[in-house]
Amino acid sequence: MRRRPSFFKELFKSFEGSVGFSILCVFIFCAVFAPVIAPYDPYDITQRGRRLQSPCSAHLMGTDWYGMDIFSQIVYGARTSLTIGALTALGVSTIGGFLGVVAGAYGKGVDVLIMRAVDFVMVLPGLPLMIMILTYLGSSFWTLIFVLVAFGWAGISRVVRAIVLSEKRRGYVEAAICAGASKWYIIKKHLLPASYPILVVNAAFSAAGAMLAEAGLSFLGFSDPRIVSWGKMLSLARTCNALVLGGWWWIVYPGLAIFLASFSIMSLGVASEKILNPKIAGRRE
Amino acid sequence: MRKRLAVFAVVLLAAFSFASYLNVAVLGDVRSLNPFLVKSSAERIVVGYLYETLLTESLGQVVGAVAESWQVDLSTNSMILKLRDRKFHDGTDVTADDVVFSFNYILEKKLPLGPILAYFTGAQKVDEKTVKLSFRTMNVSMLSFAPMAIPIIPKSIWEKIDKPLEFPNIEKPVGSGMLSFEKLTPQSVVLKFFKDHPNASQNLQGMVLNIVQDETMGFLGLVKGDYDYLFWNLDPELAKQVMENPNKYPNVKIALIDGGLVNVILFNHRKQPMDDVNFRKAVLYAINYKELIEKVYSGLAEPASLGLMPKRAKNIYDESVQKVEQNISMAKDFIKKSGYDGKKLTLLVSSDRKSMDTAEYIKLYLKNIGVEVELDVQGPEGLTTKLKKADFDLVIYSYNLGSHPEMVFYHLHSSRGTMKDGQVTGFNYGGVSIKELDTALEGIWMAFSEQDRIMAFKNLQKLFGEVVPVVPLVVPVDIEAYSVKNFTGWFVSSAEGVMNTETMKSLKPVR
Amino acid sequence: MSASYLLKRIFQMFLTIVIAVTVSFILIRALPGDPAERFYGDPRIPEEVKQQIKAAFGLDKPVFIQYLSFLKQFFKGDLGVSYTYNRRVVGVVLERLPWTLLLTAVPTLLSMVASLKIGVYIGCKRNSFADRVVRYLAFALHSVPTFWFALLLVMLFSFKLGWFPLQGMIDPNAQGYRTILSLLYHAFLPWVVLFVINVPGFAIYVRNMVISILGEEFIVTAKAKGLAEAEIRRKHILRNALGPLFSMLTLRIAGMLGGAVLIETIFSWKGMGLLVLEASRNSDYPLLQATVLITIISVILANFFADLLQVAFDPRVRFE
Repeated sequence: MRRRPSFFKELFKSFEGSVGFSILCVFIFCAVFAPVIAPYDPYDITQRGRRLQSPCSAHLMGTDWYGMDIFSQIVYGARTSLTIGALTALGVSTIGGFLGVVAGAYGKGVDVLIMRAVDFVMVLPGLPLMIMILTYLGSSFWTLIFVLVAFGWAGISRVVRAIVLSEKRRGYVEAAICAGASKWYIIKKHLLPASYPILVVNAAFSAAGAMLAEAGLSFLGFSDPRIVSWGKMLSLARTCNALVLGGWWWIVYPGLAIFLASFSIMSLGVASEKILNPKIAGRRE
Repeated sequence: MRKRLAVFAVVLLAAFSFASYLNVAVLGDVRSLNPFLVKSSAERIVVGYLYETLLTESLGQVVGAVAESWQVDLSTNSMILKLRDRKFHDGTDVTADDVVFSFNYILEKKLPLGPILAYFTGAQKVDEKTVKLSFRTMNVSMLSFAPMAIPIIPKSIWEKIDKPLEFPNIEKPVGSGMLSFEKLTPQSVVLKFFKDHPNASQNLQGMVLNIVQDETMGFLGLVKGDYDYLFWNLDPELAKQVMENPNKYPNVKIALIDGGLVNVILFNHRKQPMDDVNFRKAVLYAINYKELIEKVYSGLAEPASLGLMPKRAKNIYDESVQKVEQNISMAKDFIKKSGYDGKKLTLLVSSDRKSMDTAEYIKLYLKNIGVEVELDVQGPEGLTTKLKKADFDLVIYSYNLGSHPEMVFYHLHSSRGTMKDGQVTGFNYGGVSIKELDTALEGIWMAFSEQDRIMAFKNLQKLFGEVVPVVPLVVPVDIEAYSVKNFTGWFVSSAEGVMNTETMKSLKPVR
Repeated sequence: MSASYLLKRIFQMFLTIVIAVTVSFILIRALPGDPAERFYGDPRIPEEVKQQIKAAFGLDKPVFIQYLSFLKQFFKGDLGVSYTYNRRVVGVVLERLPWTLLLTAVPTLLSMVASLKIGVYIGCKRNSFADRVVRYLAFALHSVPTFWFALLLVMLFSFKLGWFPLQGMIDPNAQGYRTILSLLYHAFLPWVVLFVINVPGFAIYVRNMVISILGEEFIVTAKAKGLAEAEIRRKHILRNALGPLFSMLTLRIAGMLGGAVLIETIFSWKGMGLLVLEASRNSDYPLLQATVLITIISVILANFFADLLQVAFDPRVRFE
């Protein structure tokens, strides 16, 4: 907590940090004030315009086959994308972090079990399995987050475990053990805080990954039917053959939004990695 | 460039040699041609041409196919059918043995064909040209389960097939239909007219069914002249574009056919206030049918008759039963009369675009008369699950009554709506249970003569208008698209569409 | 490479496959209703017929017995019958496997070769202009949705310029050697997509390996021995970077085979990915399950061989 002010200062000073932060801010602003910013409400069926209208003053980014304003959909889609990114990052960090700490702290059988599970999940081809699960469960907002978390936690727990193991060997933890502190106390007081920086960085990467994965799944038709999302826009553009009908705007803009949103968060992740964890960052680079 | 020219030349050559083949486009893959196990619409089309049934349906009426006449014996729960002279594609005759084998094969192999397993008890040969089918009970629907549904297969081939569930039948399917099998590729099915069949075209060699993955690609192919006919209902918006710009699409023609699908709002009669006829009538009058048709179907749909039957079922359709128009004040009166307490209701709807749009509008209309509705959007699987569990207040649903109007019995008879182990036992998901309706529905069940049938349906349609078990919404028009670039002689029947026997006979290549 | 190492890896592989089969059994069991119900999904079917069907499917037995027979069937290579193809699912899936391999393996191998070249080059010239370009490219490409990139390429090269076909695998009218030409013509664009998406990431990986190798002693020794720069690059660095590249590959195999769903969808490429989608849309559960299981097994096998190759190439792993 002590380093917070300097952390943010450094973040803004770095190129990646400032670019990422400003793009992300635009998206967050869009998501929060969507009804104010978007000229049309994509959820209101009466607010449909001409079909496949190319970009013009009334429709900045044109309209789709259903006459829905693309710009408004992108603004509202920011809500979906960002919440899915944030919730998945939260879920992944909590579960992955917890299992990583437990594996590292307890060692032995628990460690082997968790690490085997990590290996297993990491080796799985995610997309087909997610499709299978979503076919069984039906796709909704929460099932999407469920599968994204289910396939995303493994990488984090491996990293956290490594941190915990190296931390355990350090003097102050050994001292605490000698002083007779309980395992949970040590985890809470020492091991968990030591893995916070790595969790923050990985949360950013997970969020970006989740947003991309959500876009991919939606593109394949596994999206919550009630919610406007960028991936779903592209999916509709494909099924309605926007390409052949000449509606390039229906393909270009949603994809650009996905790219920029994911890019901004990745940039923030890389920037904070450089600050929080210069050693690892150097290696990764 | 040279490579493209070469490809072009190959395509051109192919086009010439296939000159008298009709090129139609079908949507979706052809994975199996096992006539008992067709899944995709493309497979259904191919199998429909390759194989024949004993009886078939035309304009909502039962007519002969392989059988020329039939007689129902109520005392023994059976029917006797006289066979025509038909040949299989391999040149052998269709005999009574083949027919008997086809029917008993389903029983023996327990093929997943729905109700027939429950009611059919067996087939016997009476003489070389006569067969007898026996049932547990006898009513009109047995016709549609058995002689109209079961393909006639050659015994000599199928008696060797021990596991029909593992038999895709894509090597050399042999039936007695008007087209015979030539070859199957990942992109197309090539069929040849079977000259021994009375309906086979004399001017054409055959038909190539081109498998396309999406409607737009198919439509573009039609515009270019690659395809002569699209085997699906065109999107109303595309159809409107063609009809409004005939100069832009000189070869493309659109045929508007009476639809057989009736879209309805289903109520869960097991719950309040849906069990109250006043509430249902309030919903009936709250809806702006004209706007719904204009906005959701681009104008290409008809308001549904209060009698629920679509015009497509020509013989039994009652013109005198009226269509409803929006009347907010009447709707509000009915709401007052009903016991509606202002609680929020759920409207279950499938996640396809048209249903969702319809649901959005209905939500608005109901809000106008003070009924709050919340949408419950489900994919096809989720929708079926919820319907089976009767887990809804209202649903946007559709009945396919065009060719089998008798199906309405299953949808609305009280015996089909009882719950067992938390599941509805039949198709009456709404649990409609109205005594006089039950009587009227049983009436159509035993009406074997055409006159009785018309009377029974007239009676039923009148009753629907009074008790409003469901709210009929619209009947989407079937939109068929064909091209006159390569072939002339298309015959458009307002009830049967473009691909009818008449067209098959008169179709000729241009030049 | 010792026999015990090999045995251990084989055992691990076997265990992973059993777990995958088990999980898939549990998943299919967790569905509402039972397979027979879904197959014969007509409420008008009488109870007695339903019971007969259940017995035919083996669904009247306890779950554990069903699980055992499922495992037994699996190791016999029998994963059931597809509802839509009316054939044994394994046959249907195995017919699709080569197509997916063709789609993914070619660009993967090419991008490995290319990234090895690029990676060694920029690794030796750290922080040069080229180094920075590749690094930023790799970083930015990470955020580009692959399917969108593919869509843009199709829009530009197939639709606007008309250089490539919109979709499909082989022209139905092509004969003889033209079939192969047609295949290459159709495969080109998806290959380009996968190649472009993979190269920068792989190259960065190689670069980082090169940088760490450059700091190691034997290179310093080589330099001291007076070996020419080019010679060092070729002999030492390349050989030492190859091993880690295989381990990188191990991590990417799952993503590539799995991610093929998206590319195959866009190009209507009839591989395993499209089969997964097809099975899902048609609720063909045996087919869905088999496709996913066979994808998993392919990934596990590929990993296994990549590991062996890595051991063969990288002396350090061998001694560990």
